[in-house]
Amino acid sequence: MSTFTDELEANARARFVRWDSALWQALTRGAAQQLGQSLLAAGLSAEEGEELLRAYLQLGAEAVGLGYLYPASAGRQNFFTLAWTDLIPRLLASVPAQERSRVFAQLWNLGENLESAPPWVQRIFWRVGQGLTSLADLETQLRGTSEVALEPPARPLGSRARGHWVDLSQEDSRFLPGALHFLAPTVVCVHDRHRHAVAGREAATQGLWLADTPLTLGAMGCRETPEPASVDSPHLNEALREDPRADAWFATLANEWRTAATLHTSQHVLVFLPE
Amino acid sequence: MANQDWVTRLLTGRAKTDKNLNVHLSERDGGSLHDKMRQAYWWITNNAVICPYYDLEFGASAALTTPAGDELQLPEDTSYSSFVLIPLLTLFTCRRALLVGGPGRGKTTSAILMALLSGMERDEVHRGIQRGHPQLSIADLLGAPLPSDMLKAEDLSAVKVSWRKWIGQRVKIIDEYNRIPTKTQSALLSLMAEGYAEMMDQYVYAGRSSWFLTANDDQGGGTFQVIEALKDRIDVVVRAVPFNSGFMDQLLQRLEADRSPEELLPKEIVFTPGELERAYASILEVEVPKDVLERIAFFLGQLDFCRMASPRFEFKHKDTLKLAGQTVAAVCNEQCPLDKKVHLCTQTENGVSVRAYQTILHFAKAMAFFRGHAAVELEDFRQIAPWVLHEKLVPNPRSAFFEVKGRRMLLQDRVAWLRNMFDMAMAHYGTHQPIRRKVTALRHDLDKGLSGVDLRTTEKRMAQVTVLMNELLSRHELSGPVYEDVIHLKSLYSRYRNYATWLKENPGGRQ
Repeated sequence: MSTFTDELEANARARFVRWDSALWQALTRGAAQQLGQSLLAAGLSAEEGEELLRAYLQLGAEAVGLGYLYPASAGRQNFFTLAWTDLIPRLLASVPAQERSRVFAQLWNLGENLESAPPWVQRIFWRVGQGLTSLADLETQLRGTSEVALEPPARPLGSRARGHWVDLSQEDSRFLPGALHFLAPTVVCVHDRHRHAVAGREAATQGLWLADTPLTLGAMGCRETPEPASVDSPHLNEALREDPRADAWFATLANEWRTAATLHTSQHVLVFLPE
Repeated sequence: MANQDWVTRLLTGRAKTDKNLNVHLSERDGGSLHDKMRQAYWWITNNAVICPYYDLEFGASAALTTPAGDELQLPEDTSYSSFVLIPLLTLFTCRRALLVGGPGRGKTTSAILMALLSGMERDEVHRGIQRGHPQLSIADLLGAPLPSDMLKAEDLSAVKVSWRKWIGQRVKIIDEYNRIPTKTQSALLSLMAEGYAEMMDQYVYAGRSSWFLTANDDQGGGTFQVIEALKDRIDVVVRAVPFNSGFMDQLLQRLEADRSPEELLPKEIVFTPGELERAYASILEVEVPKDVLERIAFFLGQLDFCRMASPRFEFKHKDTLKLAGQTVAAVCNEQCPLDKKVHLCTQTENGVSVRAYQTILHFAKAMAFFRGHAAVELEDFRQIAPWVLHEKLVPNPRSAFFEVKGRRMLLQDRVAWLRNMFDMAMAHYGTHQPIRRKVTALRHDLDKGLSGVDLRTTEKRMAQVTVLMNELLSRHELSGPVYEDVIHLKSLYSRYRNYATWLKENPGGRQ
């Protein structure tokens, strides 16, 4: 196998501009080994296991060359890296034998297509992907996710809503929530109050997916420059009256389905979802 | 339903399984040409040419300053190294670049990489390099008649010239061109300028190609003085960058790897002849928006003006001085009422040729294409123009403009000087725009054509042109931009006058 990986590397080095030798080494010594062990543990013959491992490494080399895989030191994640370093080594062995190649192809296509999707879509699939427990019937799982993320929710916010305090300092300890705007009916992008785009540095932003339970999406790489806005909302007014944590709003935002607010005195964002 | 389609599209791509359950990847069709150009650029900067700074800067920038006032700009958008990017743009625009700088700064390496990017083999590239030296003859450069033919031939047409192979290559490299003897330079000139060479009534054609010339010092430090016409054919100048000792570790790694960057050039960034042709055509298709073109014209147009060149209005330009063997430095004095600190005409000894106008526009388009834009932005022009005008515009060192504290240094750095001049022009553009708009409106009327325009309308338009000329001459200072407008208006006037005369001689408009 080491000859095979050396050949792959030599070919890839001549083909790709962005060949990252250290990342390739990390893949072959880490995730690839893990995949090999899980395939053996699942009872695959050495021959079958080696064939799958070769396909995994071939696609992995392509991904390293094209820059789809990030090294751990990059400090950022994408679906492709998650798929190749976690999902496949962890879950491929439990996929029925005749489905494994199709899952490989699906994960490659999904990862590659997401690279050209908006950042918030990438972040949602990455977050959801982290919680996957099976790679069987990936398509159905994706449909569920995209339905919630992209389409307007069936239930409007109405008069009965539940407030959630989301702590954005968990993602970025210096983050001071400021202006915010919707990216989709249930996706909010929150901008840092002070860290705007300057001298080539991106503005600090955090994404929030307001599905049934709010989910933080991490840095969004958003290039918009929203101004803090103020909307009148009965839920926010009630929070000001009833919740001692609610204080002067910095910016508020609402649509038919969701309401969100940032505060002058907090790193939390208050969001309202239908009860 | 839309959601279902979207998910299906997400899962569909170039990875497919065959009936034996093997996964195959088809070739990517997405990588556009400008993506590939950018990949080539980044590969060179990351692996081949160590660039301590990126001096082609885009986007607004924050500035850090020393107490003494030295400024360091921090741009907010991507910036590029001129030493790598300009040769790359030269490759795709099929133009001629001169790489100048001290020995061992990577000039020849950069040129070789460009040749390799065009798909040439390493051996072919190395064999094709013409190295300038004092004994380089025309035969060495272009080729020679076959000796056997010379002996047997009874007339000239029977002598077959054996042309050198490099002449037909897509990328031509002339190393240390300022060491080539003057006579041989003339042969090179005809090849560069006209695209062909002639010997014994036989011709060889260079074809569409990019030229890279190198010189250790372009200010006359070579063995031979470079003939003016040859210098004039150089479209763009690239300055080698100094080495920054902070990058010593990279240098050491390369030494230890014992392989040159040209050996490691990935196939992924090598362009096929078809791709080079497509890139050339796509660059020409990049749009130059009207307002950008007007601003470029406003800057370049005023450089040729010299109020003191002639008493005759039409000849108040620097060519008049040059033909008389005079210089701007000699006539640009207190007798000219223009403020030397404001008007650009005082700063240059010459104007910009039509060829230079075309070159600038071509490179601005290439820059926009490289950045993935469909139209040229003013900043594309601002960044590229100093490199094109580097050897074309000669400063007037005796101008009062350079007497002001801090401006003397501009004479030592032409890029900074030219960029400063452009910024000055743009600062004045807004003030002059209302006048230019009026001129453009009159020109627009004429451009609609004169077919069917009667004498009365012609005379009315002539009167409008005259009124505007009178307004310009009586109420505005005769500066470069005003002069350009008046000359433009006079050409409109002449066209209308000739048409009116014809109408009078041919009543009813029939010949």
